[in-house]
Amino acid sequence: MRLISGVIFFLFLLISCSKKQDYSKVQLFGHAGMGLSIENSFYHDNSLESIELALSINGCDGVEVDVQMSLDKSLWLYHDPNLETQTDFTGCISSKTDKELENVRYKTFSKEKLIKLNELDFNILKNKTIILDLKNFNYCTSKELDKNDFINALKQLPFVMDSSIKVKIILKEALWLESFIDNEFDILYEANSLEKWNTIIDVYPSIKGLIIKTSKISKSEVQNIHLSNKEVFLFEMRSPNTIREALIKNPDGIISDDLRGAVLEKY
Amino acid sequence: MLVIVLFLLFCSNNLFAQSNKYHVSLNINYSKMDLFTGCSLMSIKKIFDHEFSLYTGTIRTFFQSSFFPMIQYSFNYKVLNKSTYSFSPLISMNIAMLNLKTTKANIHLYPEILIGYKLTYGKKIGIIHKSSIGLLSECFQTQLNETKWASTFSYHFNIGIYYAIN
Repeated sequence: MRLISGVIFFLFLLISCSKKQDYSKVQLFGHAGMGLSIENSFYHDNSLESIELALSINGCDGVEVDVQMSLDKSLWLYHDPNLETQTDFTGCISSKTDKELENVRYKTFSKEKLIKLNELDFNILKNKTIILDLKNFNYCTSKELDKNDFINALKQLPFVMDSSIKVKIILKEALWLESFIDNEFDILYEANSLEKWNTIIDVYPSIKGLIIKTSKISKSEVQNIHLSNKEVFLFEMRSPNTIREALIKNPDGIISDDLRGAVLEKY
Repeated sequence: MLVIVLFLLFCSNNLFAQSNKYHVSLNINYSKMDLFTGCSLMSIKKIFDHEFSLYTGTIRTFFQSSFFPMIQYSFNYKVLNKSTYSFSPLISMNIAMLNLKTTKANIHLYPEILIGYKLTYGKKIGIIHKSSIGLLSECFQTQLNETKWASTFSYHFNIGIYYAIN
């Protein structure tokens, strides 16, 4: 009995001992909904179910989703280059028509549908941020897509005009930056290194911020970018330890693959 | 669900009349939501076993300082029962609870119903292995104060050691 009481006391001591820092200014985003290829996610990434579940969790400030364009110039949510890796269909989104993509389902227990970006319920996006990671490449033909098609498709989305929903666009392609900035989109540039970011920001000072892997940037480097009035968003974090390391750097937002874990670490 | 509970209650009433043996065990349980560690009390009968277990999610509890308890009830029907080993199909009901608190408490409940099998080997001290698959749900209050339910496929893979009390 004494042993059991001792173990219970030790457990409570362990749980109550940790004192959390104040991360109230760091926003939490679900990576493609509840997380990309993570065990404890109930639904497939970029599915309507996963995005809705993420946005309904207390403490979630928004989601990041992966956007690809079909032959009919519609925006679809999908991460991988090829459909066969995650769905019951083959080929690339950019080589398929909307009609072909309408009945595509993920290879999961729930068999979630592949969805168009405009199928998201605007009510659940109210007072949230949606970060759109644009895939500017047709992986099957190895050709770059037309940036103007993306701009036109984005402008037709009702929530882009809604002031209660913040929309940010992730771009990796430097040649696309100018057109998107001219069309007054909030641009986050995805850089592999800070050297690349410094080169780009000199040429395009209107970019809103940087999105970078958490392992590629330190706390002081985040502070330096904040001094130039730019935002910093970090991604690629799954374990409690990597989420904690990202929060300590005090970015504007973290895009976590374990949203529940990120909420536990932040609050 | 009600039919299953009534069936289990009926079986328990019949079987409590049988001679009772108890085993206690320490278990590690790998599941979709966490790696759970905990202990069980098993009521061992000739044909049926009842097992009550208490677990805590190791990652959430020890690495994130958020107590993640899980209570489990398993009902086993022994199809093979030798002196040193047994094999039984099982039905198991679990409920886990995680407080995803922000500025206020926000309890997420994870009820589960699973079917699988249990293997035991040993006499006074032995080893247990259980595997099961089933349906896991998540239930919580959303930011708009609505109750949200989500369900998915789930699995448990359990190993442990037991000690026969009597």
